[in-house]
Amino acid sequence: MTHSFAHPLKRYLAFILDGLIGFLIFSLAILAICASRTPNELLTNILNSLIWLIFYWPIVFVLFNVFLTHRFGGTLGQLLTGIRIVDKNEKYLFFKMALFRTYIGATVSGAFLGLGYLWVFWDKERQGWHDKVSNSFVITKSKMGWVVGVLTLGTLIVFIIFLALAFIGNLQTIGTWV
Amino acid sequence: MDFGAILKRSKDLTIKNKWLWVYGIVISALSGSSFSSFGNGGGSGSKNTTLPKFPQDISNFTNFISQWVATVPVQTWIMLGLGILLVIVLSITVSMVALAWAKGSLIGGLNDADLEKNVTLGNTTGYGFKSLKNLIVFNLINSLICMGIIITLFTIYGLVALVFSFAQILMILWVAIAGILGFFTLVILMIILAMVGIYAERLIVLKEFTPIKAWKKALAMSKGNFLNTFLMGMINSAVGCSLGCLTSLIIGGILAIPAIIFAIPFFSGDFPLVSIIGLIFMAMVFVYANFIVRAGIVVFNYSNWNQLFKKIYDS
Repeated sequence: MTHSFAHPLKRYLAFILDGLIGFLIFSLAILAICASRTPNELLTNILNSLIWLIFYWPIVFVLFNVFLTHRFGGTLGQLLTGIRIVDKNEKYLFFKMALFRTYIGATVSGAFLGLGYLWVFWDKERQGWHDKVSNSFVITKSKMGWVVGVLTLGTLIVFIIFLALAFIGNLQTIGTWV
Repeated sequence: MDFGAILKRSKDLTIKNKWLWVYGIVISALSGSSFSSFGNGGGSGSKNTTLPKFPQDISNFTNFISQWVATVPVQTWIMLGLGILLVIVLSITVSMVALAWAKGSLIGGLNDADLEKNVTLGNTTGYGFKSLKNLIVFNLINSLICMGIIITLFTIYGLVALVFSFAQILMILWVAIAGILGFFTLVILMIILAMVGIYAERLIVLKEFTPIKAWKKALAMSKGNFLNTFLMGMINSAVGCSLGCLTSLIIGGILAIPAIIFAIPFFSGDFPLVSIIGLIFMAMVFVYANFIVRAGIVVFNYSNWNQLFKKIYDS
């Protein structure tokens, strides 16, 4: 490998960024609920949001990440932190392998208390079980990854706080209906 | 057949090749879920600007909900139904693929381990990929055959009972005798199908058979070595049961004292958070410790079947 293996903490930063990006969409659904003008509209918006958030959004989000991994070498969080998922020849994964790594690899790593994910801390090639079963490696492509990652994290947190404040404001309106 | 040598070799392979326990973990995890009248103002009509108070005004609240349900567009219910179906199909597909991959990798990995090769997740996962499609197709074929046998037996049973329905004594005799014979026939057929499954998986992974050829060859192997296969199955079950029970007793015994200490406040009517968390933690340790042992037992059993398969196939 010509590049160094990504530090586990950088991988976890990327994971947190992906989680916050996913949460942003969730927050937008909450805001839509809070923008309801009548109780009927409120219940309908809650139902629609639940349907999308529980059944469709997780699948769409995961498949989108699989596509990004295959095409660009990582999820949004991983791209922002400058890390890439590659095979032993430092090429991006085929779509089927990226899909396998995401779904089946996650099952393997998460099957026993998430031990497969923690394995990256003491594996000499910084591989988790999901990396080993898909013969993939996570490498550092950009030295600015930490800076960009932390800045993005800060920006996302601030944005979510603003969303939470807007949510609380709308909640007071709903409270007057009860 | 030297079952003692098989068990000893399997024990050595299971203890020496811990990476294969990961496949055991996956296999263990995936194998084993008023309208009330339009009355006073609060609950009627969609022009409401307040929600009915619940539970003080339950009848108006349920009236409100039922009126709201009628206003939800049909597309929303269709999306809900499709969403539930999608999640079910996806869960079943992922489980099927993960299970087939884990079985293929474990069988191939144990074969390599038996040949004294170095075994890791990376160099055994390929066996699972290579045989994934054939294993899934075989499982579908075997399941369809199983269902077909069950449906056929029940259909014959029912039709003959219907034919004999004019003569009550004949019908009673048929229901009783055919019921008992049918039950034992079904059990034997299911055992044979299970044996076919065991040999066919190894034929697909280790000898690269196609699903249908593997089924036919596995049937021949099962019939020709029924007693040895049955005994191996009994030994596997006995070892699995004994180890499982022993582990539960030992771990339960070790965890009993701290669990009792955590539970002491409950006897005096207190429910401190620390005790609740402690008991939940003890329960999780118990469950996961048993889970690890089950993973080891899976690897051990698969190794036993691998070695029996090799002896029978080579002979």
